[in-house]
Amino acid sequence: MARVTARSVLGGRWAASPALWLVLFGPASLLVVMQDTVTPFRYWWALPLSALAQHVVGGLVIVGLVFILHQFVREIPAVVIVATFVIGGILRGLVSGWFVDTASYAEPEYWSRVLFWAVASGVWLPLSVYTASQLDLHASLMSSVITLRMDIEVEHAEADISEREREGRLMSAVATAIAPVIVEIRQSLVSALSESRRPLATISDKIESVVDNVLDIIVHEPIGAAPRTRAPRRLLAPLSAALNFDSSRPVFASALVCGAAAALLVPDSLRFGGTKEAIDTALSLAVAGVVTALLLVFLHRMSKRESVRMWHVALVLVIAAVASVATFLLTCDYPLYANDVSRIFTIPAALITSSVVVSTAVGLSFANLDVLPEQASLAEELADLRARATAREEATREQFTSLMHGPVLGRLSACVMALNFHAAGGGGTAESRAQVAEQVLAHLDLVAADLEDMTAPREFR
Amino acid sequence: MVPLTGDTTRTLVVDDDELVRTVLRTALERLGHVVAEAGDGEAAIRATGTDVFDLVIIDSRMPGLSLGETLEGIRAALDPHHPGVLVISGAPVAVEVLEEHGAAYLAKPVDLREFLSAVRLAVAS
Repeated sequence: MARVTARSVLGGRWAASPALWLVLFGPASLLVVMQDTVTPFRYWWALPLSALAQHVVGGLVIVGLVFILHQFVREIPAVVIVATFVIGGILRGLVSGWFVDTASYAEPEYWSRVLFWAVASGVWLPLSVYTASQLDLHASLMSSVITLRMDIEVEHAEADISEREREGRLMSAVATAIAPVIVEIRQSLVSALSESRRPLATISDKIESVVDNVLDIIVHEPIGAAPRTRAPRRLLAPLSAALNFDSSRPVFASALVCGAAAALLVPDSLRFGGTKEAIDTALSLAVAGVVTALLLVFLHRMSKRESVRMWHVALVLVIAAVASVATFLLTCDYPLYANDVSRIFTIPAALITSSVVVSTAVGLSFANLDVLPEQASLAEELADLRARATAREEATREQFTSLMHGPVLGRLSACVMALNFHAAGGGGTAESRAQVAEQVLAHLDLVAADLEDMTAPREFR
Repeated sequence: MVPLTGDTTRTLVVDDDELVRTVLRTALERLGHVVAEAGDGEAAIRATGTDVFDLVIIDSRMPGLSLGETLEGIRAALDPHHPGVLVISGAPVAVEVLEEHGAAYLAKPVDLREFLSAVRLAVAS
């Protein structure tokens, strides 16, 4: 399984996934509601319809464009993908403005809506695609690792079976298959002794088929411990595993969280409160970013470079959100208006959302990097165990063939030859016929006795 | 041990199964061969120390000596005379061993017609 890079996932199948687009409908609609809460729509249904129309138009354009591009190139360059997302965002903004223009008493404010959706799509869609890809890869890797571990356990159990036990299994398969046939052949021979017309050649054919049957069992009878496991269904990565990530790049992760939150908040701040409020919002998010980075670095050193725990990350987030809101309240102009008060709630909400998505993506990517070598090593171990199992099985079959050669196969072949030669030689006299039949009978008795001896419980042997 | 004299084909049948030896002996005697029997490789080598054979019919898997060792012993005992060799076996035989001794091979169980034609070819060679 190949390593997933940001470039490969952006150009991969998740970029045009209708499933992902469907999942994003919820958060995107929430943004639409937040953006147009104060817009005086003439009809109550105009807002949800606007959210739906924006998502459908944006989705059709993005999924459609990426699908078309995939027809020409296998991996679309990341820049082209991001540009496609931005185009989708611009169209969303235009649809949003059109709804406000036609179904409300407010100004459409096309430029600010286009700016908001272009920035939000350009930042959040790559992040979502990357996270979805990592989650998908994690599920595949975990499923593969679990399957490999189960298979390895089976192979270890197989290795614990002794040579004698494997031979015993073959022996019992042979005995079960041929003992009743030998009894039947014996009865035919006894009848042949009394009925001179019964042809010995047909009995010879029966014995020959027993020989073939024995050879078939030796070659094909399964002698392994248990059947190979079937691959379990793909597993979903637990969120706790995602948030227990290695914070070896805390500054990068913090910058990503704050950048993603800024993409949601700054354009709307500009629209509602002008440049001053946009700067205040950006500053408060920057403070959150610095606090997050410092705390993550501290935690990283305290945890001696082990994974940062989930509740530590949550605590860092709370502290960063408080610092961010405090900064906003210290820098903004008073008195506070409704849009200023809304920032007190939207700043922590945006930070939490960004943190969850970013830490999931980063956590999963690190987890996947850890699992990849483990998976490769398990696959190698399994291949090695299977090669050894195959060699053991071949040795057992070879050994068993030698074991069967004289007492069973050799004697049965001798019986076939005796009967065939007698028949092909014209049948001979009644006396010679009886002689051959008696010799064959004696041989079959020896085969039956040897088989019984070989399959008897070991302690009695 | 059967004494071997005159111009008839002298054949040594080597097999650990008495029934096989009996069956082959009967068929060969009908062809006019003079047949001697041995139950394993060592007995076969001993037999070639006292008698000369034109044809050796031998099983590949017997207790004691391996096929290669038995054929080596027979070759050494009969040198410079080289008998025809026909290996009859229920198990696969290494091609190198067959080639080294110029031996023909028949898989058990053998059909009478197949056996007789292989015997004729081996004697002629």
